[in-house]
Amino acid sequence: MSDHDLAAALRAALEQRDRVVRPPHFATMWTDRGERRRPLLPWRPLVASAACALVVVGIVWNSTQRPARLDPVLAHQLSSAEYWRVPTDDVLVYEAAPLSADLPSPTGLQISLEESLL
Amino acid sequence: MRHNPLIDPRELEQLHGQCFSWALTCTRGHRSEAEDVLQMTYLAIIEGRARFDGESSLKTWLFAVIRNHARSRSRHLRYVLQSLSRIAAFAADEQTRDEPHSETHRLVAALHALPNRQREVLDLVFYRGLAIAEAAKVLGIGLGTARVHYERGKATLRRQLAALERMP
Repeated sequence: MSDHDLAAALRAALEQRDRVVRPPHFATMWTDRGERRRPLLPWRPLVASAACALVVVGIVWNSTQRPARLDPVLAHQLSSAEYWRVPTDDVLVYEAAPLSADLPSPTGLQISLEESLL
Repeated sequence: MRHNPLIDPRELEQLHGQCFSWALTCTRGHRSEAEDVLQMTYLAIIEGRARFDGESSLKTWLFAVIRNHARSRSRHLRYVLQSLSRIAAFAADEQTRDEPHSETHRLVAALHALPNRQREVLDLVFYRGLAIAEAAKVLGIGLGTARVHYERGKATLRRQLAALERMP
């Protein structure tokens, strides 16, 4: 096969390929997709910063949520010898107290001397 | 256009078909890859990451940009494509097993199987009518090197065609 024949055969084959595989419309690649993407680019850092700020605010909000103060009567019942008589449902309405939570006042507990010695 | 004042979009539109065809050759006939490469090229032109300075013809410059994008993309996706192309080749073989292989199919398959530079220089010279010197500009290589790839490409293509003709 001479160079000329090889070139002609290759040209015909590639023309056939290009007839089968048609290019997408120029307008869809140039204007619609290309130009539309560009204006969004400067906003990306702002959107990312706003999303980060929202996450930080959410974390701070959750960490400042305080559980309800413990009812003094319930606290007294729980500190007695018969703490097991307290219904579980009464205890479950309270969230776990954080380490820095205020404890019930000792005067409100009204524990007798005998009870405290037990 | 703000970043590329020397480019007229109407001229670009006229070259669009040839650009897609060239992108197809650069991606060994993968249509979706060719579309992605062309899209990346247009974005680079719009955003000014690729600037046309008018030193060569617009067509030569465009072909060089398309080729560079195809090469950088293929470097990133090399491992994925290697495995996928094996699967695709197997599937294509399954699909066309019962069909007679036409001369056209054999030629395009043989061209796509050539090493990158041999495939590209043969496409540019034989199909797109570029001189070897222009093809060398597109490929970013010297004229002598382009001639070597041109001669080797022809020889490889002839060998592959002969081998394909011997296959049942």
